[in-house]
Amino acid sequence: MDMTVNRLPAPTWNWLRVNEGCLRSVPVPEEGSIETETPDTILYSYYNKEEKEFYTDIQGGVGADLDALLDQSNGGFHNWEIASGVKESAPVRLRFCYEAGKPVQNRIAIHACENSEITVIMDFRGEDAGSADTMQQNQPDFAAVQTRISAERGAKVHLVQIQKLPESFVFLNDVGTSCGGGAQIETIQIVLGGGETYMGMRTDLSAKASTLESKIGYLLDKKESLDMNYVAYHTGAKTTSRMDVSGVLRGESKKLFRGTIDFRNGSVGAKGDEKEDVLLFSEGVVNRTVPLILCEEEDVEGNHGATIGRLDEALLFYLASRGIEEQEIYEMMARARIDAICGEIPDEKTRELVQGYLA
Amino acid sequence: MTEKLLQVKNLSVRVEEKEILHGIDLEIGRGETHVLMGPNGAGKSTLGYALMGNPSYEVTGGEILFDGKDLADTSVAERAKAGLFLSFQNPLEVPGITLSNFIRSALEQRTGERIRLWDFRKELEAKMEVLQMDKSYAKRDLNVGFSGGEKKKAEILQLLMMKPSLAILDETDSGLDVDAVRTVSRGVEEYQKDKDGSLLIITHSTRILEALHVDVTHVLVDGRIVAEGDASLVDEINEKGFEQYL
Repeated sequence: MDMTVNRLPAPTWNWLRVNEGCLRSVPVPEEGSIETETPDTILYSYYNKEEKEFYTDIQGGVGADLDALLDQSNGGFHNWEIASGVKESAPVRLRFCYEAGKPVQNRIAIHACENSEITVIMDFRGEDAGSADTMQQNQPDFAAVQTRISAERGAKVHLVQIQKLPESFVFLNDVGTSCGGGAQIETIQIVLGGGETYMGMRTDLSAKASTLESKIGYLLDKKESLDMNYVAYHTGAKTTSRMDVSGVLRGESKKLFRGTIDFRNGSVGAKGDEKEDVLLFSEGVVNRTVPLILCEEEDVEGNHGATIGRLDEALLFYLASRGIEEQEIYEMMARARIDAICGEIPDEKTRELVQGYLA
Repeated sequence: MTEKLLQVKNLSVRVEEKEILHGIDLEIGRGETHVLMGPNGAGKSTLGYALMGNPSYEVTGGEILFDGKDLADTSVAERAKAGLFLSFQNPLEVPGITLSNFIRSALEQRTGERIRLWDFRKELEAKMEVLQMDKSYAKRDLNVGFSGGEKKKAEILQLLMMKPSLAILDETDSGLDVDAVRTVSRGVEEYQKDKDGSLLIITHSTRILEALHVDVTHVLVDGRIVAEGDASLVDEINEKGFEQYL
C-alpha cells in the first residue's frame, strides 16, 4: 500500500515538501520475533489486536496509515505492565533483529500503573543485505515498530531506543503516549544507521503537571534519510514538554525534523521547549527543520532554539589550541553529540552497546 | 635549537578593521617567566591569541619565530604541537567530551601515538591532586557546569599534562578567590619546575605571581610595550598602578 506518514499537524506551503512523508508500495509485514528480558516485578502478556482498548485509544506521531498497515498484519501486541507503586530499576530489554527480504512489524504496549516506574530498552538491528537480491530488485527491506505508553497518575516511564540498521532498510518507528496527573515520560532515541527512517512521537499531556522529556540523537551518512514528526499535545494545566534533537549529517544524508508544541485550551501554565543542534559535515547534505508552536491558551510558554551548521569559530580555536586538527575536532564533536545523549541512558549495558557502535 | 624560544619582531595585529597591536617586540628564553601587564583594553589577550594563531586575529606586520621557526603559515593545531599552549581566560564548555578523554585525545594527536590508559590515569590523578581537583571532574564533560575556579584549574591541568615548551596564561587568576589563586599558582609552579618550561603570564593583578620567580615584566598600553623591567616592576605597578604609562 501507499502511505502518508508524519503529517505536520498544521500544514504549511506544499512546495516546501515538509507537510508529510510518502512511502510507495509498502508490503504488508508479518509479525516479527523479539528477544525479551523482563524483570520479575513486571507482568508480560500478549494480546490480539482487538483486545486492548488503551492501545488503540493512543495516537502516535507517524499517523493513521501505519495503524491501517499494521491492522492488515497478522500480529497482536506485546504488553508489559508494572503494578501500582512498584519502581523497577532493571529494564525490560527488547531486541529486534530484522532480516533482509522479510518485512516485519511489532506492536508494543507499556502500561505503568499509578506511581510506578519502568524502563524499557529497545535495540533495533538488521541483517546487512549488501548486494543481495532485494537491493538489486530495488525492493528495500522493511520493518516497523509501534509503541504505545500509558502512564497513570504519578508513574514514570523511561523509553530508550537504539537503532543500528543497514542502508537497505526502510524503518518506521511510531510512539504514542498518554499521561495521568504528574506522570513523567522520558525518551531517548539514538539513530546510528538506516536507509530511510520515519520516526514519530505524539505525547498527550492531558493531565495536570504531566511531563515529557524527549532526547533524540542521530548520525546519518551516505544517502541515509531521517524523517521525524514529534508532537507534544498539551491540554492539561502546568504540563511541560521538552524535545532535544542533536545530530550529524554527512555525505548526502537528509534529515527533516517536525517539532510541534500544541497548547490547547486548558493548558494553563504549560511550558514547551524544543531545541535542535545539527552539525553539517558536507555540502551534499539536506537539513530541514519545521518548528511549530500552536497556541489556543494564553498563559503558556513555548520556546524553540536551533544551532545549525558548522562548529563555532571560538570552539574550533579552543580545541585546535590543544593540538587537535580541524578534521579530528569535527569527528570528536560528532561523537560527542551522541555521547552526551548516551550518557543519559539509565543502563550501563546499553551505554556500552552504543559506545561499541561508535567505536 | 636557538637560545630564544620565542621571538616577536615588530608585530602588528588587526581584529576586524581595527589595529590593536602596533609593532610589538618581545623575546622569551627557555625556562624564563615573563609577565605581561597592562590596563583593560591594552591588547594583552590579543597578543596571546595572535601568538596562538587565532584566525580572527590578522597579523598585518612583523613576524613570530618559535624555536627559530617562522609561524606565519602554521595552523593553530600545528603551533600547539610545536609546543605552544594558551590557557584561556574564559574556557569554553564542550558537552559530550569528558575532561579526561579530551586531554588524552589531545596528547595522542600531539604525539601521534596511542597512550597507555593506566599510565595516563596515574599521571592525570597525580596532577589533579596538585590542583586539589576532585577526581570526579575527569569524567565530567569538559568545563560543563564547572565553576570559574574549576575551569581555570582544568586549564592548568591541561598545561601540566601537555607539557608545552611555552605556556601563555591569559588572566588565569581573574575571578578566582584567594585559595583558588594559590592552588592554580601551585600548578603553574609545578610546570615551572621543569627547567625548559617558559611562561608568558598575562595579568593585571599580581596575586598569581607571588609564588613565582619572574624574569622579565612587560607593560603593554594601547597596543605598544611602553616599559620593561625585572620582577620589581611588578611591585611598582602593584603600588602605583598604570597611570604613569597612560
